[in-house]
Amino acid sequence: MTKKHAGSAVVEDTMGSAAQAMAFSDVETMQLVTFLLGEDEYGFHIEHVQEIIRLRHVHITAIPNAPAFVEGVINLRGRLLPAVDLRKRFDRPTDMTGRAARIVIVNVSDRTVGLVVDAVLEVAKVGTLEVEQLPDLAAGVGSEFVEGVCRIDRGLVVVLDLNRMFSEEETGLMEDLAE
Amino acid sequence: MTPSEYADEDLIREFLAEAEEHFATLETDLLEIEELVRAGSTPPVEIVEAMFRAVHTVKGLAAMFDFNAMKDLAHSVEHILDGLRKRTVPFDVPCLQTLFEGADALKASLAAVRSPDHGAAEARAATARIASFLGSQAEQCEPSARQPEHELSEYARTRIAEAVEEGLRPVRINLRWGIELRLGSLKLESLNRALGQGEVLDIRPLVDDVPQWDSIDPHATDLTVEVLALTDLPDDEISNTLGVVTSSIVPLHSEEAAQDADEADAHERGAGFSEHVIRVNITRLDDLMDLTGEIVTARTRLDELVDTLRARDKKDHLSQALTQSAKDIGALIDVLQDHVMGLRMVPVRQLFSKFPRTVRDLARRSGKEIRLAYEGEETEFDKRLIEQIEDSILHMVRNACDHGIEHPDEREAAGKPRTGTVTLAAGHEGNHIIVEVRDDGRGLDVLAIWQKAVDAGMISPDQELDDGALADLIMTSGFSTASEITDVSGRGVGLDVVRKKTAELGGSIRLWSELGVGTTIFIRLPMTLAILPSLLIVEADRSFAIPIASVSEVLRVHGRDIRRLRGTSVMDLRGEALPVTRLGGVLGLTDGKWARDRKGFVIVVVAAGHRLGLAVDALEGQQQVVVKNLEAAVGRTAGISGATILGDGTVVPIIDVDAVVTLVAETVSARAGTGGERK
Repeated sequence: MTKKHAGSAVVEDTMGSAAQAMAFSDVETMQLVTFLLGEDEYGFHIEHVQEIIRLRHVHITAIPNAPAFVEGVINLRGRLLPAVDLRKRFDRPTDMTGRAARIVIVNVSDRTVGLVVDAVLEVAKVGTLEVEQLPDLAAGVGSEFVEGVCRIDRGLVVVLDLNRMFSEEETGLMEDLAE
Repeated sequence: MTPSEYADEDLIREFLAEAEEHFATLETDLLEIEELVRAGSTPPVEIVEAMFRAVHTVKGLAAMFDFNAMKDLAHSVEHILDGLRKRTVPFDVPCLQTLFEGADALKASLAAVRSPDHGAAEARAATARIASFLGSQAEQCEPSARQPEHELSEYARTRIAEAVEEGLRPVRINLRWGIELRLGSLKLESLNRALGQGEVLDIRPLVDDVPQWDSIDPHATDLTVEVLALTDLPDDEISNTLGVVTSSIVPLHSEEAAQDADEADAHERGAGFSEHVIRVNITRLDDLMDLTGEIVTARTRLDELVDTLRARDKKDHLSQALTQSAKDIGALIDVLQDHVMGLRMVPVRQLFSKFPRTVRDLARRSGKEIRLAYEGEETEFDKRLIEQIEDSILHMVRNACDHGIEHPDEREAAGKPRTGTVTLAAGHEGNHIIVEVRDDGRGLDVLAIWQKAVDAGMISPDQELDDGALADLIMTSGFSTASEITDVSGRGVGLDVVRKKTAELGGSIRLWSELGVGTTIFIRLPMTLAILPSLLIVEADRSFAIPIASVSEVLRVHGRDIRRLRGTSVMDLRGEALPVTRLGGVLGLTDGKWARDRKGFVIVVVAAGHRLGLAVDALEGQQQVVVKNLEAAVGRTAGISGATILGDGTVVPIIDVDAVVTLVAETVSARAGTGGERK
């Protein structure tokens, strides 16, 4: 998987996807915010994203006895939001000091959550039909939250289903596991 | 019930809130009437009028929203109330029972509006049942000699009031409009003559006597008209003068008229008042409160910056001006905070008025006679706090009714009045509010409880049971289930919930009881939930806040002051062994060990019936903190009740002292248990 993302490549890719999508209809395209966890590229629907903050600018306060997947809470203009380290959720090596590390503030089913990622890459427009089911063999840690995979020019993007990840049962389940 | 598609959701929410208030009034008034009827007196018409207005308002609103089932139900209830207020329906048990059922059905229909999937079927069934019940009841209640009367017009009322001073008396004359009237043999002149010095105020047909349009026989139909008049002549003289016309003369009491006038005034005043009141969703007030909290936080930061600037150059004109400006803003923010806080304050009566029905039902079910009394019901509480303590009060009221108040015979034998009294009292105490649930029932055998606690090793034999310790004992579920004292068993079940909730809200509980005299439970809570005076401490390089309410003292300690005693760390506190544990150990931050040469602090906290020393690395100070809920962000966390944001934006978790102490007590007793076996 390529690590360098030339600006031109991004533009080309976006256009390529858009052109493909036109073949179906406008409804069939979606915009993904893609980001890195370790060396792998992930993405989720842009509708969820509220804002993106540099990790260095935020202090994460650990809360004792909080579920293991919750890194702590952050103060977003007076609101306390949980910070979830996606790198841990997907069993990726974590490097908290990375300059490119970001917290993506997302709104999922009435909750606002900060997701810690290694880097935010781009907003990609892809056709919904391009998202393929994950082959069974590829199932790993956190695969239950994966909507599918999507091919872009530089490789594969794992598309996450945030609704599933933060649904009541899942968070409840995760809390149970944490205890 | 389907809300009209045009109805705005906000409007419906408002309607629900308003209807709920009206139903609460209705229930309170019903209970009052029931009590009066039981006591053998006739309830004053004002109460019925108030109930009528409440139901009538709801009917109007329900019609507006197309909640037809509720509208129809309100209409039938209104019908009975109308009968009661006109004294054509007697205040008797079946009538009251019907009204109670009607009130229940109205509430059910309200619940159905709120969540149609939920109570819709029940509400429909209840509505049908009540409607038919009301129907048959209404007929039964209807006396044969029903006298429909008209309400007095504004003019009539004023005129009556004046005329009474002139020595005239108001009367109501029912004239049958028979053939004579139609032929004009009775003219207004003759009527005027019959009244002597008096005058005719109003003439109206009695609508109930008007036949159906298609069945009118112009030659045979008799109509009755009601004449409202003033006269100085006696009844029989008027009848004689009117001669041929069958008439019935009812003297109208001037007091009644005056009362009507008063009521109309009150009504107008009420209408005027309601125009200046708006309903606001409490979440908006919460947002406002949060925002004010942020401003307070930002101001602290500003103050720090101003201080820094002043320290740099005290004589600088700009920095002096800035200091003054910051001070002004600070003063304004204080006022703003007070106002915003004030917006959330409502009289505790709102909460208390929910319980008369509970008490009535409990008393009825158990065959007891229980009266509910209020004290200080005008005391204002934070609306959120009221919501939070409602369940606790319910538990305590239930306990007082179920276990406190004795059966009437038992009471009589003990020389007490047959009717037991449960009192709900509220008041302020500095920055705290006090809620008290008091009963004059059988009380608790405090000595037996003390003995039991000593036997169980929960307290030492030389320890006295003060009100706080007693409350802790009684309200700990473990104690009452382990107890063999019959009076106590069962008492602690719901009260354990009360204890937990109160601790969660940063409050404390005391319990007073005397055998045969009664029991009183006091709950002391911070005035508002939003701000908590706290001790800021550092443990394992992290900051935490501990609510001051739980802290009894703070000690400076050295590692060697802490000894191991039967597997537990203890330190000497004025001759007593105080169990000490590292806060970091409880929270899983450190291994809980403390080096002998280490210096630090021990925070002595009291909660859940235990005294515990929490060892921490350093004290940072004391501060009023704005409490933020963490549950939405990270779910429930053992030992942490919330978090706060300090002036510089740092997030600090707030320690749930009750949970920490319970946690430690459990591990200690578990360890003590295994240690004993090994020996």
